[in-house]
Amino acid sequence: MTQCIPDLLVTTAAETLGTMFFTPVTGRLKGAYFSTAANATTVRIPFLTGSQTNGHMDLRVSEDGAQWIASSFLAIDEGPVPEHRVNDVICEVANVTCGSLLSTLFSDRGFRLLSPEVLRNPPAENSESESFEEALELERGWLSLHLHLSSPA
Amino acid sequence: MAYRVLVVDDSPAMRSFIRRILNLSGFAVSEFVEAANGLDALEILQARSVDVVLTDINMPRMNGEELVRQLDQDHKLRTLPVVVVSGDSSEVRVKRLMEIGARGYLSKPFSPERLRTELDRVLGARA
Repeated sequence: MTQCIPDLLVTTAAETLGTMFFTPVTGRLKGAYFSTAANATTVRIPFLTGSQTNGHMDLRVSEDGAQWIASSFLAIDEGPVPEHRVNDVICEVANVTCGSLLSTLFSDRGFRLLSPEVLRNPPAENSESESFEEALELERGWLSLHLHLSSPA
Repeated sequence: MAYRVLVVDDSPAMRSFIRRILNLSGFAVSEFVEAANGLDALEILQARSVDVVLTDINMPRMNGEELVRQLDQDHKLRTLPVVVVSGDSSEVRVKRLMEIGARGYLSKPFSPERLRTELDRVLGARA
């Protein structure tokens, strides 16, 4: 199942952004730059698939990308969207993307998403977890997804 | 006919979004009522009538699953259609919610057209 995860990350995020956040994805990006880039918002969602935590998803989005997504979702045409409202919207992007992804990966056994959290610094990763990373080009800015599983899906 | 809609979601951004896409979909809304969790929704429903409830699952104080269960156990409110709107569309979750009384299920992400179709189905089935 894990072989299909990179493509699933891309298609799930693109569908989420295009359908609910009025933000088309314009391409797929390569490189590790997105994990550590400054001026980006990071949201982490831990999830459970049984009695133990067995993963989390980090969503990182550039500052201009976050503004673009938030203004599209909230239908705000003028001026910058305040940071707390941008963070609320990016948490929703992460929530919907992660929920949709896990619904495909764990459809038969179910899962539970925990509350999303905005991280102030790029997170350090646990080298023991299995991880998948994809980055997308937006009409403005970029967005990256990192899925970490403590056990194979 | 225009409908009174109660939207239950802890995210103000998501409640605002649902209000907007209800308008975009052409669904006729006479009243749009909001609650931030299941407990607040139950309080509202004791005081006023609505035609349909749209609820998220993961919320503080009382989640959407408990709200569905409580409505199904209330003899005055058990006929009120509830549509669960959630990013969790796993088979086990959908099956459980429909078993405990949800009338519809809309998985996120969804378009205005899908929301309209689900509301038409649920309210049509009621009429």
